[in-house]
Amino acid sequence: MSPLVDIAHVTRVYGNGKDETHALQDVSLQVAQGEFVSLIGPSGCGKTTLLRLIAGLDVPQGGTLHVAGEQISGPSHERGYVFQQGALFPWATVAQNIATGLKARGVYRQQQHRVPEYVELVGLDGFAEAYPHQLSGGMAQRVAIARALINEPRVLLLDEPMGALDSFTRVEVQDKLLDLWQRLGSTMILVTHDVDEAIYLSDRIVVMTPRPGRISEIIDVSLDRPRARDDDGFLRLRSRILDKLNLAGSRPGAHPERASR
Amino acid sequence: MNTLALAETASSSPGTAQTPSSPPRGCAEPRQAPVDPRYWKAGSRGWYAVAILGFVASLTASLAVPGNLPGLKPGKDFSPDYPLDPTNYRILLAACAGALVLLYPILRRVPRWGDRVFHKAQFIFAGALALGVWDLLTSKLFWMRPPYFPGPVTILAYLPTNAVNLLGHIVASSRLFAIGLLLGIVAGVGTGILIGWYRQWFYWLYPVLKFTGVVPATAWMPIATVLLKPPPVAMTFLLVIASWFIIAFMMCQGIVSTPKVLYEVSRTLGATRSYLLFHVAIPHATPSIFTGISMATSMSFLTLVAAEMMGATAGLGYFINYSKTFSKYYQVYAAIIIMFIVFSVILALIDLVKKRVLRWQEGLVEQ
Repeated sequence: MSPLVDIAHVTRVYGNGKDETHALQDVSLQVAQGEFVSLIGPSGCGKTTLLRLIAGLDVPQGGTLHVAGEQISGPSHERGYVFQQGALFPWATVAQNIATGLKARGVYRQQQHRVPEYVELVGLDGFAEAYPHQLSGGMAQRVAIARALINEPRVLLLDEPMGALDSFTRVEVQDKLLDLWQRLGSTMILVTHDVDEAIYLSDRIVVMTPRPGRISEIIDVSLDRPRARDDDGFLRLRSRILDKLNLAGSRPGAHPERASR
Repeated sequence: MNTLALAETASSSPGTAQTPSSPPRGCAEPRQAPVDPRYWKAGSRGWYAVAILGFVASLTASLAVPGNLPGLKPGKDFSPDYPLDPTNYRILLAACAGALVLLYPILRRVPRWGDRVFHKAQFIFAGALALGVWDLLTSKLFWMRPPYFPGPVTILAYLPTNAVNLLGHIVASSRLFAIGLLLGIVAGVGTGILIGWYRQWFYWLYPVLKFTGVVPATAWMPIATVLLKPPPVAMTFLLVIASWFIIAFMMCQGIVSTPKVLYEVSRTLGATRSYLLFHVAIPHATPSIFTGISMATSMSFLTLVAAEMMGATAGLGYFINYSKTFSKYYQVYAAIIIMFIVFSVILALIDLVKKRVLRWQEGLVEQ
């Protein structure tokens, strides 16, 4: 079976001449239907660039990107995107924000009954008429996720959606995301810089390195779900990835005490 | 106050988010009445009684102090038709005092109104005293003399005698203002969308807009009055000029400043280009449009009065100019008071529309 997302030898260069930066160099990646893949790496490794290329918000200089056999030519509702800051419309209520996709595609009249379903799906019952500034960061991100999911995209692209949240809220949104992924059977690609988050959520973790941005290793996470963050396998995988990213610290071996973060 | 923001931080798991029923109980601290940041003088309820006494004092002064001091006689020192009948003035003072007395039980019962009025109690008292002092200095002691300094007695005695005539001028001014501002808003919003959205329009029109916007609309008056007949057309043109550019400018700014991420997220949701304009850019520009309209409104007031003074045959500006030529300055003051009332009502109406349209900003922006 051919992969849902097929990225082949993609190169993206910003600027020219001396200021040239290779955000991505010869990157190839395949994501199967229903898979949860995380892109992890330090800033400048091109993980967000890769996500934007899949979304069609950016175009590569070289290589090809296909989703479901079709070449990507621009943004589409079939590839949902959740931004780091949520990017909710401040003038629209939670329900109106979630309904955006239906309205933009001109199917709101026929499908407006789905809006309350998606409000409920992300656990925001009772907040349908609230405005974004009345929500906390975690709630806002859940609205952003529901807004992308109502279009039933083939793949959901998540650009550090938990990056700006405190650790308690982060866990809450992670669990929500996992719950949605399992219930809806959707394909998700998550950009993150949080190793724990990547292990907790993903089937595979794509470790990227900067200058030039490229994939250094793809790690299979074969831990059983639901996963415990203090499980031995979890911690072993954690120290392996931290080593890979040169984040393990100066002391040799793993650091179980840091796992409690 | 929004309670929603408070709610979420407490809810750790999704699905259980709900508004808090009440603040935590059992605090050891003694309960203290919270001070309302807006109506921080609401506690000064005693001043409410003092304010009533203020009106009574002014009324007493009007009744007790003899007017028309020797040395000044109507018909000799000023025109014989100079109104000096204090009846209306006294009725007003009595009505104010009476209204305050009657309102008190209602204000006690409805804190939403009460806080506001009690907060203003000291100011109301000052206003009542100011009326009394003004009356004493003009119509009683004549330290401030006619015709330039009429008292409240004179203005209030005059107003009802010429009510129909004045109403005609109010209608003339209001109609002109409404037509001019509405045309200005339509033109301004239209132009603003064009230059904010299409770079060709921006390239050609924006510099023109910037240049023309600097010139006060009244500068066009001589040209407008000569080229555009009848005069109301010329004045409408001036009002449109006065409001058009600032609204277009603010509209353009609002569209241009739309965060890129809002366009991007809309495109990944399936938005077409027209959807981006009408459902992203224009909603984002709405607060700017209202800033533009507020600024245009004050510019239009200015232009309206100036234009009426110079080239009109009706309207409050015309009436002021007309009264001046007959040295009836009390009519000028009357027109100024009417203007204050009419323009305040217009501003309040615009504010009402603004609050309605921008209700999503409630609690987000200090208003």
